[in-house]
Amino acid sequence: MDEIWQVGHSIASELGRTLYGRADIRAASCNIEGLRAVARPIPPKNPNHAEIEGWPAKIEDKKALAIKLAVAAGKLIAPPPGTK
Amino acid sequence: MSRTTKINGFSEADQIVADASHRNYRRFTELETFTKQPAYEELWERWQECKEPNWDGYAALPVEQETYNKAWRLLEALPLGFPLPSAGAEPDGNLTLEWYRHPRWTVSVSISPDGTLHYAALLGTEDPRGSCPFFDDIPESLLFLIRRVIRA
Repeated sequence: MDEIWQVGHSIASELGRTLYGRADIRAASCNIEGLRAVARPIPPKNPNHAEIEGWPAKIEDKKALAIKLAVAAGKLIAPPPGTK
Repeated sequence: MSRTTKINGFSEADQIVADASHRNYRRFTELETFTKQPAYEELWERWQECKEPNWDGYAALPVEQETYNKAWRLLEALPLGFPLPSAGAEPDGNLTLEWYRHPRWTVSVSISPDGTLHYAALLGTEDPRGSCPFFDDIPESLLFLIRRVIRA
């Protein structure tokens, strides 16, 4: 878990942004209407990076799937205090 | 109150009526009950955050000024008293307006620089979606979807 927060804080820091939280989704939950989660590591910063592939061509179809992924992802989790 | 009152005449009386209608509309929009200012401000903030390339750290396209202008006009076109959406941005450079009631009752509208609206909703087990051009008025079919979400 700490590793995930560290990646989040690192990206936020690079972009000059604030990390407000994260939402977790299981790879298996991404198997919606042709979508699939595939490991796509970004060494060395993010070796655990994955992408969701299999998106349809139309924007509205992508949006419909994104909303369903959000349902599967659950609630926003705030960063633990003291994590930087 | 309808946002648009179409006055088609050309006489002085017609112009007086049109001017009065416009003043009344502006007075209504300034009332706290009907103001859209929080939505305009949030939209501005999203655009400021996302108008540079790679704004998400994963090669997102910048949100162009024309996209912001279209999204602003979409907010303006919402009926007075309509619940205000949340503003967001997408990696393809589009801006989004979303109305959320519950994870399974939500509607999201994307605005592209050419003025096309792409929308998708989750209404329980229904998942309607579509696209349409946006000129000055929001299509009634889209307003219908939004009303279904906010009344759920």
